[in-house]
Amino acid sequence: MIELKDITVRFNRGSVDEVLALNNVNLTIGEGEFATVIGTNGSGKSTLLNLIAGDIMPDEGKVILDGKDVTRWPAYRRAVILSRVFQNPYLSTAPDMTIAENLLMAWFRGKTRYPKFSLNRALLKEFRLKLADLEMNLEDRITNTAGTLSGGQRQALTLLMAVLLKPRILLLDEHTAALDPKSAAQVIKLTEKFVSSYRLTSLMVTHSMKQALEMGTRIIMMHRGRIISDIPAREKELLTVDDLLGKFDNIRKKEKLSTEILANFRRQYA
Amino acid sequence: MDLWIGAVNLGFLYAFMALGTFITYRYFNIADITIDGSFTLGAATGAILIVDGWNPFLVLPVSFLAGSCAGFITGFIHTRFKIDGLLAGILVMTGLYSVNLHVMGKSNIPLMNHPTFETVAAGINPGLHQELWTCILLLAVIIAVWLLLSAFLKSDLGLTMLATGNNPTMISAQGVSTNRMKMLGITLANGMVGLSGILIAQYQGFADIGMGIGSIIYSLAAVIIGQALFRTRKVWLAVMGVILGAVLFRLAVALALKSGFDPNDLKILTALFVLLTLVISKSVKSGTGQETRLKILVRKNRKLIISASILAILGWMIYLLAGSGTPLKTSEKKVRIGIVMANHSSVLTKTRDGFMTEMKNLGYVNGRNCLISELNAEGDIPANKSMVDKLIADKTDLFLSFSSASTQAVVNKVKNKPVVFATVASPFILGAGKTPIDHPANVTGVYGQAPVRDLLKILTKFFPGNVRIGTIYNPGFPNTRVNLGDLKKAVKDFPRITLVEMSVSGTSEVQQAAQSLASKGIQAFYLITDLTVFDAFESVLKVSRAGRIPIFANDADCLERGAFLVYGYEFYTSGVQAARLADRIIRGESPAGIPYEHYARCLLGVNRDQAMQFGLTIPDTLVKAAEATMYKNKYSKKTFRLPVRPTQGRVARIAVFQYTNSTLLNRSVQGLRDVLIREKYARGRKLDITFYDALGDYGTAQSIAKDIISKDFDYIATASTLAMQTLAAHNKKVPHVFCAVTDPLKSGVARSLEDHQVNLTGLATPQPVAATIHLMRTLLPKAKKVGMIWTSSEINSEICTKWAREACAKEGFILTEKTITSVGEVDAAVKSLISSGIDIFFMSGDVTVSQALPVLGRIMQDLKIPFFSNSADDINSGTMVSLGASYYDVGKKAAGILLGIMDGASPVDIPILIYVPQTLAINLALTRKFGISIPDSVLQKAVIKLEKY
Ligand SMILES: Nc1ncnc2c1ncn2[C@@H]1O[C@H](COP(=O)(O)OP(=O)(O)OP(=O)(O)O)[C@@H](O)[C@H]1O
Ligand SMILES: [Mg+2]
Repeated sequence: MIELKDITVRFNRGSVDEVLALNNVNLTIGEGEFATVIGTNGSGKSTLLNLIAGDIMPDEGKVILDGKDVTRWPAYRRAVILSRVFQNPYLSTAPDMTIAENLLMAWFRGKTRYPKFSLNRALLKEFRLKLADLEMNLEDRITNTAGTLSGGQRQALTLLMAVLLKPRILLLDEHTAALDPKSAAQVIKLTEKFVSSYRLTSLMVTHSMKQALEMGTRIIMMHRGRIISDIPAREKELLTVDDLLGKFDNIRKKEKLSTEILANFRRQYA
Repeated sequence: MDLWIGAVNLGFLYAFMALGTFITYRYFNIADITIDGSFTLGAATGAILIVDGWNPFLVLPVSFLAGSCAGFITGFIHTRFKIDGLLAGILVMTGLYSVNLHVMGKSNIPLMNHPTFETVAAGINPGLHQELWTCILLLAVIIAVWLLLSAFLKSDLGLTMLATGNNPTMISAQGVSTNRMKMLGITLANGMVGLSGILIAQYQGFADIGMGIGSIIYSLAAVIIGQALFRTRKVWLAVMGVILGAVLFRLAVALALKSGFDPNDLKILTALFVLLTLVISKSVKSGTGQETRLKILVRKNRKLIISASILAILGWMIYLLAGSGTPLKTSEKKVRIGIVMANHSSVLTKTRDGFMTEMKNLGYVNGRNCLISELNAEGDIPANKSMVDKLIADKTDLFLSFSSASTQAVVNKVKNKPVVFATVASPFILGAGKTPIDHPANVTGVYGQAPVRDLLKILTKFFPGNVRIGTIYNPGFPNTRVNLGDLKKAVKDFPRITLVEMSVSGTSEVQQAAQSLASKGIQAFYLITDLTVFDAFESVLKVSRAGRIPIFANDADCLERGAFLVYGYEFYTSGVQAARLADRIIRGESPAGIPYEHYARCLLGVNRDQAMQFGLTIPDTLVKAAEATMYKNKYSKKTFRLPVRPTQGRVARIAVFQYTNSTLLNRSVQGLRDVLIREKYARGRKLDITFYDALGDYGTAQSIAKDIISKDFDYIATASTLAMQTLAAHNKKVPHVFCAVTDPLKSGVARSLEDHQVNLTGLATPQPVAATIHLMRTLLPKAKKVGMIWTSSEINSEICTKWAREACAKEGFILTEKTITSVGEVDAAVKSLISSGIDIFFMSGDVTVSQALPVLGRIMQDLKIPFFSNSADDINSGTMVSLGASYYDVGKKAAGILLGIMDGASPVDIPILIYVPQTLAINLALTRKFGISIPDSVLQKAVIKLEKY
């Protein structure tokens, strides 16, 4: 479903600040797979997701989604295939528009919009039903603006918007990181529910070792723009947090890196 | 009433544009300045098609499309090349200027004789007042537009556009190209603007290259007013707010005009208004951050502030409406008259007495039909200003100022209430106007420079040989400085007179000064009009008697007090004259139309007793001529009454409208005015003339036209093509005489000189281009190349250049042209002309190029290139030969036509006259320097011959 071939991404090319954000990355994720992505700050996780979404064009390599070479497609075109949830709840909804109108925007994901009035009673009813599934009491506030919602409510709404049209691919970039623990738990619950019931091919960046271990079928560990470890479902089931840290330590030794990095990693994930 | 309905109509039409800006500004946060150009583009395309015979409604979609194209380009540049929206707009707007010129083919397309939506509307008028009918129809249309646009913005596509502005990250994640959405929005917006352009062009009767300038600020103002009216996210309310905003804005402009506001200040007011509203709405919005008390106050009382301002504006409007057309009538309202005097000197007291007495004669009784308050600065010059402030605070309707110091204070401060001054030597040095006719619109009065020369002449009759005279003055008074200047200048013409001056700063110094003069051996005192010296006149008199030094004075009142001989003004009469002017103004005449009056009476008086005492002989002729004498200790004066002017028939009300404040138009209007004024005063014709100047602003011109029509003038005179067009578009009834128009046939008011709009006739004054080029040939038989610079947006220039091409071909010159769009480009154009090697430089009828005239004159003189132009005034700025029309004469001629119409002629029978009163100016010093000989036949024709460069 997702296929990355020899991908290299550089920022600020040619300047002193040049960053090699993705370094010859190859990755294939099959249909229905749910992979979590972990790694230290700046290791290139967001860049990887942005690359798949089309916000960033690779300097080298190819992006193939759903069998189509989309390397040169702009982001909005890829929305036909994939949808996404950002870390920042403010980025995913239009604050001055109502919940219903926001959902309407998602209702047309990847479709042409005409000067028609699709937000009729029937559609509103459908939206209400779906909102009720979120268990956040949003169904009664359908005419409130998104700007009046809490972060958790917004993120739940965003998730609903993302899966409203059953995308082929779902990209989640630390989408619970900015939430309080209770909302985060609810959003994680919803994520699992949607992913499993719709059988979505998903990539989820997370800083929670627990989430990485408990969710998904595969763990991808990144470091310095490279995928340093790719743990398949079989291996993952037996894995503990310490195993993961150990794995990272091994790599560190191999790469002759300072222990500081490990400490860093431990701080973030433990 | 027409003014207000007209403003509402304009508001409706401008609303289309404001709605466009609403989309770009509210949705995408771009102040899209493209509209300055797309507005004109819409007007230009539509106008071209209408002239081509298209239906005025059929062109609307075309104009919409044209505007859209402009918007599309801006959108493309903005999104594709990631160039800031404002910058992209500026780029396209700049480019559109050329495009618009190409589309129009010239800078102005008249639509006068073509069907417009208004004429179509008139055709189905069920008998309503036309402007009102238009208003009703437009209201229906605007309601439709309101519903349509609100619906569109509420649709799936509209909401997507909203989301694009609201959260671009989110909407592109939903598969929407934000670039395309922005482009759609900007395109749509400019389509609306183009539509607005053609609608306004139809409404005003012409399309013009400059009509879009400033659009962005006007429509931003409308959007911001709308936003302030309804702070809501309900689309239909927000859209309605913008429409109301546009209407309110136009109403505010009409209001400003109505209340006599200087339209020049309108722009800065608009800018300040937009800024203020932006700041207030920003401080309200940023509610999350730290709030200052002011912000909280503003936020909490926002509703109150807005409703209070709207109420205030409405109230003002109603007040003006109620007051419109009703001058200060004595029976209805007590006129508040405020008098400011500099001090209690006899001169001013006499003025005041004359004024009061005459007012009583004219039927004004203090407390009954007028309230007169008198304030006296008691010699303290700065106090004049505070007194004026007080009178303003007291809501004074009419200001009187006696003395220069008081007049200066009043004139500086009072701009919208009538002012009448008296006992002022020269209002011109006070900054109150340039000539008795060219003066501030709210000011008139009585003035006079003392007859210094005449008195000196009389003085020499008593002293046949060389004579020393002494004068005392207080330099603190502006009047005195003028009078002293006059005296010094006049003395130069009398080689036998030596003048000794002595300055004082107060009355206490006068006696010492007089003694000091006496010790310097003067044979006569010559007292100019000086308030300090007159107050201390007795001090001078003492010295005069002691030393047998006669006093000659320019103040008639001094005779009674002991002067030997007086020749000068009687200030009592000055007061009488002032009262009569005040009466005319109270009866509704505008001070603008009343020229300054010179003192009506100069009095000669001699003291025969003193002649005997001092051993002086008075020539018999003088004794006979004297109107006042002191004889045997008795003062006698011949009685004198100011003649009352005959009045007959009804007052003819004339509106004179000039488009902008240029020398050419000022000259024309002055000629017109001078004839009318002469007619009024010398012949007793009852005329009431009101002058309008649009200061070059289209919107203002529109409002002025509406105002003129609403005021039911009997006759209209216009100067300039645009003024003519603007009025002719709306007025098909009132006789209208135009002048200062190059080619009326091109302006759409006439098909031929005989076949013109029935209520209109006038003068066509083309620049004498062919004659000038013929003159070039006469003076420079060997010259080959003529160079010319002209501005592509000026219709006059365009016509002149065309003539120049024809004339050059005929006279065997090669014409090299350079076109420019602004004065900044003149320099480059000149350089490129010079490098192409021209023999003659020619400038004709171009306002923009003429701004660079002095520089051009210098360059041409340095390079020894003969410089020809088409306006005689140019000769002072360095041209070599200038052959032009005398616009003063043009104005006079136009006034002649107007008077003919008043006497019963009908404009329809008067063919348009091609009238070019030529005035030739030659700089002989330059022709000599260049070695050009001027044939006598040419030299004789020259009116101005300059001998320097
Ligand atoms: N737009 C950009 N311009 C320049 N450098 C960038 C840009 N975006 C990311 N980078 C750099 O690329 C590298 C990878 O960044 P990325 O955001 O992918 O890291 P990450 O793994 O998501 O980190 P985190 O865990 O902090 O979210 C970092 O060094 C970052 O500084
Ligand atoms: Mg990241």
